[in-house]
Amino acid sequence: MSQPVTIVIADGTLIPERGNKGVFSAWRIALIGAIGLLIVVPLINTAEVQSFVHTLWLQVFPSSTPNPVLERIADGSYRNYYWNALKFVPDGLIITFQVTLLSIACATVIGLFAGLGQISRNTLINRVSTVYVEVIRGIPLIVQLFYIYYSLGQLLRTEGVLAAVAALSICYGAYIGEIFRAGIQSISRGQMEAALALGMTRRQAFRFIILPQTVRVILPALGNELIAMLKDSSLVSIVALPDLMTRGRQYTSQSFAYFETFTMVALLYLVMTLFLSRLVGIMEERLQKRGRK
Amino acid sequence: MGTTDKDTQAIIEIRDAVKVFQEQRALAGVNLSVAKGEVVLIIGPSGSGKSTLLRSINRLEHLSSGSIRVADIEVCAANADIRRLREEVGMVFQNFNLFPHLNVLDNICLSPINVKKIGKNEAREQGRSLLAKVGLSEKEYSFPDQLSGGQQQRVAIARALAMHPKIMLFDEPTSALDPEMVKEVLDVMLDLAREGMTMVVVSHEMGFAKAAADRVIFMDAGLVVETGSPRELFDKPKEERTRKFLDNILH
Amino acid sequence: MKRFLTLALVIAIAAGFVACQKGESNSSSNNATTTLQVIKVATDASFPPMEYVDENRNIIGFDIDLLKAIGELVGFTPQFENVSWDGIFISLENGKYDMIASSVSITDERKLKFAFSDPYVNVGQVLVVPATDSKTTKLQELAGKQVGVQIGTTGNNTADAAKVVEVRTYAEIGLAFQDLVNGNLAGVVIDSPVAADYALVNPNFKGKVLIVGDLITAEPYAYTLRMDNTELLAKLNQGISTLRANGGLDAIKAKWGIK
Repeated sequence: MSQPVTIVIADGTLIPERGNKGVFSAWRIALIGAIGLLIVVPLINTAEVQSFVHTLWLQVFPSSTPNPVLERIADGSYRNYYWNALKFVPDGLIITFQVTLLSIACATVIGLFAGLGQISRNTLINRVSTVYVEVIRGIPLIVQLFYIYYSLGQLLRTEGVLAAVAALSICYGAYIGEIFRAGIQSISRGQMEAALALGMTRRQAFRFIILPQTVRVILPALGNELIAMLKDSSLVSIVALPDLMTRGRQYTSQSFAYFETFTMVALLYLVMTLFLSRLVGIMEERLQKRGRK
Repeated sequence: MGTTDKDTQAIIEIRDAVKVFQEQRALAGVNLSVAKGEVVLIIGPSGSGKSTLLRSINRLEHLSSGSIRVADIEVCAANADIRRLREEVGMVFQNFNLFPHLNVLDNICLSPINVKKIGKNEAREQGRSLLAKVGLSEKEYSFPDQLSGGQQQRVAIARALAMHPKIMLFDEPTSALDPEMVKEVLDVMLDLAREGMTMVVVSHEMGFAKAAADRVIFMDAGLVVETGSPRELFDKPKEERTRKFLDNILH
Repeated sequence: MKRFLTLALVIAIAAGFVACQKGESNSSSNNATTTLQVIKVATDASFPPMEYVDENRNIIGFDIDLLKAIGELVGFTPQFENVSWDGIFISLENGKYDMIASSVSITDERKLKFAFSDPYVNVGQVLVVPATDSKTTKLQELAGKQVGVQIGTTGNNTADAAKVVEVRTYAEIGLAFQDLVNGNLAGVVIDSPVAADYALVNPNFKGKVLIVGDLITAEPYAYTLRMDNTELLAKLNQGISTLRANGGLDAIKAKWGIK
């Protein structure tokens, strides 16, 4: 009798753990590369460096046509767009972090209740939470953002950060609810029975036995959601929140320096997600050390 | 007065117990009474209903019909005091079911502290003496996954005892163990039996039965087929089904 | 049997789609029988009455009518495509489109990178406030409050230049107006023709928003091209001057209610 084979493909980023050489070194290359580019590219595009390089170039290869870069440096119209873009976006980074952290916190609470609801023996609670998870997971996040911000905005005043956090939390709450449900169900029935046999109520058994173990099981998955949330938070630029993405769009709209700006924005997002994914990796390593059988 | 109580007053009284799982009868009308201080061993082929019967006694399973009384608690009554029932009845599982996120001492103390509401220090003191009793004093800060199966099962027994139960239920306590670890668990159970604990044990450990059991019950197809002293039942079974089953497990 | 029915249903639906698409492509090939040069035009059709999408999913508006009229005069067929505003200039620069006809105001920054036709209409930025606000008359009075603009527009520049207000940038101006009536914004800064359309014509916003004060800026709209596309630039300028002389421009202005 052969076991059915299950292939699990995570839709999040790869989680670098020390045990996994390939992913770990890829993570290191990406992180060093991204941070390096963030520092080096703005530096070599300063007027000083450019003027030095182009002057040197002209001395080695004298040319009859005027050098456009040197001309622009001379008449003061040269711009280091990489550096200027970097200077333009930092307050957007703060909003991005703010929205992401608030949302993951709310989404985890919603997810806990949705997960518990889905395994509840109360039919009403069970139906409500299962339908919530089904419905929300079937609607793209950007549609939910528009819906909560602009449509519901007509009924109840939903303001910037609040609306963005609400939309992200409601959306991710459904996904995290599934994670909680799967996590709780992965704890063997024997654990609940042992707790009940020791006189605990179901509530006590959940609090002392099931939930602490569930949290360990789902922490990596939650970490993945956090990373996904950070990336998806770029969608809040549609509700005109000045996050990193919005700041990037604003800078390009006046400088027209699309390549330079979005190179910097992409690198900033990348550095953040790489840091977070390593954080999740460290968490997983810890859990494996003090693991469950 | 005490001795007559023990002999006449049943501490567990099971009447016409029927349990139906998805149209399958796991229990088809079981009658059984267990006296205070008695050690009863239940044997039978898999699917005979012995585990279901055991789990019905502390209401991990709820009977479809019939009644169970444990001490003065009507187990199947809608308003039964489940918490008190489970304080009176300790249970040990085949797969130990220790809590993997807690160390050994916390495994033992969790319920006394949160259910019985006794003080932390008192609970820990009691936990240490129970660990000494099962011979694992040096393991109080180990985690379950650092223990052998036999050690885990001994911790599980100590954990159940920490609630001061009047009755202990054992659901195949040694069948998940490597052979060399069976004895250490059986020794702890033997000690318990000698101390006068009322025990209902689902197990095929003949040695334990002969050494400690007052009665052996053979179940098949959800019914009690035969009941007798270990010697009677193992050596001179009356029923054909019992004989066949014993032949199978002895060879 | 059930499976067969499902399959038949799927095939029938698919066939229906193919039939529809065929119908559409037939009609468009009929239109293209003229051998005029096709000019690809980028427009952000979220800017009524200048350019927007009607119920039949056609891009219509003042800019559309005017460019069609110019095309008829000087010999090209404009083919409009809906492009979001903050990607519109890069799309032109990358050569995806030949020109932008999308209420583009001439600014010094834009002139550094792009060529502009002669202006065809003069507008300016105005402040729009909720109808419930009977006091505000200019941007400076909204100090510290949130003001909505479309990202990268001259309205964005105007609000930024006022310094005192907190600027919220939207991808489309309609979203800013929605937020205005939802009570999240104190004002919106936008081109005068669009403001007039929202305040006076649009059934969803008419009566809910008010244009206050005078034009904050004076801005000419012009067509935007790549620097090297002098041939098309010449044709556009020729068309604009002809229509200005013969009254065609005024007629189109009148049709869309533009001063």
